[in-house]
Amino acid sequence: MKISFNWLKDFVSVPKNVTPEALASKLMLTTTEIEGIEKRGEVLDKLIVGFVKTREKHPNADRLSATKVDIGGGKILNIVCGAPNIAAGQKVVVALPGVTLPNGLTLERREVRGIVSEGMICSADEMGLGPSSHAGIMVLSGAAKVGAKVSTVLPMKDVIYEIDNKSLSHRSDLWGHYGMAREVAAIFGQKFKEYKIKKAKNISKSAVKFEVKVQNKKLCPRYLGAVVENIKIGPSPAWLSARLESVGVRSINNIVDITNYVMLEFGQPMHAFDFEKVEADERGSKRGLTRKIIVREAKNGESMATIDGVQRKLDSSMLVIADNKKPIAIAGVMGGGNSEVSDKTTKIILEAANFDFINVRKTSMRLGLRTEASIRFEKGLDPNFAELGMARALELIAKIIPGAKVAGKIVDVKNFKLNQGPIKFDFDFLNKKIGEIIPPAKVVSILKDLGFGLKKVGKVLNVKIPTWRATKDVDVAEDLVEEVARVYGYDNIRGKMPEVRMTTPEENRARKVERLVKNILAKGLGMTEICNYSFAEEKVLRKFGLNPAEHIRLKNSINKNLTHLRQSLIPGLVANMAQNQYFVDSVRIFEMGKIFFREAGELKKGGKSSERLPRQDESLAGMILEKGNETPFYGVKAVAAEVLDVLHIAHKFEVWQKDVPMWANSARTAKIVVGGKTLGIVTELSPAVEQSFGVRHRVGIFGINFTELVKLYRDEVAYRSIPKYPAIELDLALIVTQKTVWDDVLKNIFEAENRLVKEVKLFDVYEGRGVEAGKKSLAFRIVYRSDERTLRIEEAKKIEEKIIQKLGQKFGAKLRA
Amino acid sequence: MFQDELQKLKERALNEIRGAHDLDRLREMEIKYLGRKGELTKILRTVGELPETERGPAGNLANQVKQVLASELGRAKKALGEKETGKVGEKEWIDVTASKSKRHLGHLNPISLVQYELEDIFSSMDFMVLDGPELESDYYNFEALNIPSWHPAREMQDTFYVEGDGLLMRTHTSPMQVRTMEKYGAPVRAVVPGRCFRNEATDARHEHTFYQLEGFMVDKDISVANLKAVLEVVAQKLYGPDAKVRLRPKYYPFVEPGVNGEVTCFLCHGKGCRLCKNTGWLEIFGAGLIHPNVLRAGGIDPEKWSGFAFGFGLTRLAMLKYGIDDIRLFCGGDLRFLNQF
Repeated sequence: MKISFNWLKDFVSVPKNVTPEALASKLMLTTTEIEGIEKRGEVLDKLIVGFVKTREKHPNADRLSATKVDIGGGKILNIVCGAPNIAAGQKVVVALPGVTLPNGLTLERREVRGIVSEGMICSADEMGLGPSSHAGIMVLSGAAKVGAKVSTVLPMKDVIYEIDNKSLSHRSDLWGHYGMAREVAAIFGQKFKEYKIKKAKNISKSAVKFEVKVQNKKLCPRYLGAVVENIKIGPSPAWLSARLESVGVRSINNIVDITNYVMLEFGQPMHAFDFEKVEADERGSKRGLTRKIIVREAKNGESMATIDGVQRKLDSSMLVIADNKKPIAIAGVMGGGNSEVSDKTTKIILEAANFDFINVRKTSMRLGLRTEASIRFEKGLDPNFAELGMARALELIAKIIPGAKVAGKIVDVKNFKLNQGPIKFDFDFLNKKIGEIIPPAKVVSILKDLGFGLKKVGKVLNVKIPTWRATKDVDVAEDLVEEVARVYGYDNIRGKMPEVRMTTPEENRARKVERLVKNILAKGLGMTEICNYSFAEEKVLRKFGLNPAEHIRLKNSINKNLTHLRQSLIPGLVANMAQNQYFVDSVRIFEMGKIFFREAGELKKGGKSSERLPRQDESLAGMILEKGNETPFYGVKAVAAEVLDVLHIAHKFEVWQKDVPMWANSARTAKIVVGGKTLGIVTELSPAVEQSFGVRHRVGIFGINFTELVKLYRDEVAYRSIPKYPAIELDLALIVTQKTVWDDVLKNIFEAENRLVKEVKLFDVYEGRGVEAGKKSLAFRIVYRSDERTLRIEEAKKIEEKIIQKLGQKFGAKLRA
Repeated sequence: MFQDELQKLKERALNEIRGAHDLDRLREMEIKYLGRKGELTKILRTVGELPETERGPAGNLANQVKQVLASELGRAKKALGEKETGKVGEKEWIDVTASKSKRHLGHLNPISLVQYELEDIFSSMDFMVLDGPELESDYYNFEALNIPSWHPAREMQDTFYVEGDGLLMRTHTSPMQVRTMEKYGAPVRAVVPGRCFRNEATDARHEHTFYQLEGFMVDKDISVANLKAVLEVVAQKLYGPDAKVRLRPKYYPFVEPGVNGEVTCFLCHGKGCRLCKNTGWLEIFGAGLIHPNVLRAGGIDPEKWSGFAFGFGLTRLAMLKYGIDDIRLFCGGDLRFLNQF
């Protein structure tokens, strides 16, 4: 919304030392967001009034004129002009060489088709005064003094504020200059020039009979209607159209402009119907002169073309203004083309009404039609604005269309009650909330200036809410705290640390473990953290063999790729693999994030519901892709093991036999087992999925249920004394069949000797040259140590013999030659 | 006799010492002459066998020779040492300006980095760090926050609704205000970092998934001045001791009064620049005193307790901190972006 500085000054005098910029920053700190400041008419000081002495057709161009223009002081300039409306005898606006126009053009003397032009005659557009309703140059009044600055003739220097509409969504009273002026008055402690409703002077007896019937009183708390006769539709006076144009509203004709003017001034949308186009009520004697406005719900199936020419389908949830036969406007949104004011209109029905804000919003959303009227009504306007608007509109009509007469009386149907309090408000409460003692006199003046009614009862103020703030805006004492705080100025409130009892915050284990694990992964294990979306796409889920029906569906996503909530981090990370494989040789990534299940979890939905929210687990997954690495399985397995070790969680990796996930390589899948329960998976991406995503290298994957992991974490380390006696380390290389499982070998080693064998480390698995086909070589180091004495090498050798024998029996293992 | 022997020994030893070409040889010399079983030592031991009158001069002479040899050995050692260091340099030289690949470290997402920074600031002021559900109920996301079903704020928030009754993806981290009050009662103070969602089309400045950090404190007589002071501390920790906080009125249904929080632009220190659009201020949080209806929804008596609440845009903070111009990069998974942090 645009607000004009000059217009504000109709209702408040801004102190001389307050520049328009200073006013804007003050408003920003007190009331609203201002997105831009536009200076209009700055250039008018540099333009001068000229008199077109002669005008001839340019000898070398059909559409151009060659003129001689008197600019005062005896100076006559040759100016070439392209405007169609230029004529001798006009007073015009002249820009001389050197002047820069708002559009950035700097004028210079130049030759136009053989004639030197010594300046330019300007249009309203070129002066930055918006599109003119007249084509061509601006013609000034005959009284303009030749040679004078144009700014003395056109008082159009103004500053326009672009207000952020969103910042006013709770302040229905600020949707016009009047309300904004009241804020300005309160901020600067200036007097607000209240608009006093005067009874229209041009009310006359008339044969016209007019009635208003409000059928749905809840959706239409107030409806004022008046018939105005002797209307002569025509262009608006210059001051009126200039004002409208200054805030970006196109001038149309006097009546439409007046309704718009009132809306921009008070925030009260108005509408004018052509009396003759509203169906006559044939009852009674005055045939043809009786009209009845009916405010009712639309009927299902009813439709109407709005004044923008679009046919609108209506339904019973919408409120319309109707005559006996048809709807003639959609209440609070837009008028109907069937009753629109035209050049021929001589009688109008003027409407100033108040409509339910929820209904207007819903109707406007349903129709996909937001208008200047609907954005105001949907904020919840004060029904008293309707009365203000009607009075102002009639006043302007009387001023602009001299013969116009209000036929009979103004009809006013009201059904509203505002909660004006009073609110009990005590200074102590205020000071505690603000944290600063604000002088009572200051509090009183702030509230008074904002229009609150005050009555002091003991130490407490009884505060009466003004009608324009009693529209779900202000209703509790806290609201008044805000009024005082913002006008007093947040800048004047000094920060003061809370004085409270010291506490120790409860430790959040999940967060602690999360940070620990993330740091280990990134800084210890070379993995980079990814944050993928919480969403999934149906198509992708299928590719991973995941059933979309088991996932929670999004109801109203506007993005085709977001159809469900994810239940696994894997699909997202695989996409990251495909994306990054071309840029880096080694992709090592992990993600920690929420996954969503259909069954109920632990958190309640709250309110009246006894249900619980769907389960949301925290999941951890990581992937490794390294060019040339054909078994990244071992890489991710090591990462998973490191993470569990850091958290002191004893774990095992077991072969995953049955029901391996479809996306996993079933020949390379292990479970992470803790205390007999599966905590996660270590695997590689199945070749099928690899292919369908265009992943060109093998991908190692680990996945861990982080929610469970947190429960298993113990921040406990049981110290074991450092061994007193030295260990003996002996290496062995054995040939076994290719499918021999290391875990089994290990088990048998410890079965052969579990007291003196302290550790077994596999350091090489080899197949190929030198090893018989179908066999492999396992090279490992065994650490022997006694806790009681220094072990002799002979003893270790003996145990080694035993082990070789046992493995020979079990696996046919032979020493590698 | 004794003197002659000593003199000969001295000549021989000096010749050999001077002729030694490496330190090993010198060490041999040292042992050969001055060692426990060395030649000079042996002669010295015979001094006692001399007639008493000869003992004195002989002893003196022997000691003189010992000193000469020792100092000559020292000199030779030093000279040879210097020579050998030079040789070592020859053998050991490498090009220290060349680099072999570093050990590859991973990187945390910039959102995590900013989040941890803030979490730590608030932890140091005794705030709990909590976590809340991303899939929320209509009740906690709106109703309990003083945003009834008719409220226009609902439509402004472009909510993702999910199947099921009254379920949605949270549009802010504020639902945790009421959940926390219900669980812990008053007094309480906590921050809640997390993901939020808006059902809107994405471009360089809009993203349907973004991160916030919610914080609130409920205690006795909590005021706007308290809010300002706490956030000033945060601003100063983030942007240095000169950072100031400016509050401006802003409407949020769940706070009253409601404010917008700006901090001094860290790039221009308030002078005005491109980053702060020449205002000298950067808007980084929304805040206010918790609305009595919200306290009530959390089971807390607004007559006895009051509180403030604030919300930081973590995504915005990260964009400002690192000068990131495309919001989609955070969840985009591109390692060329992520590996920079």
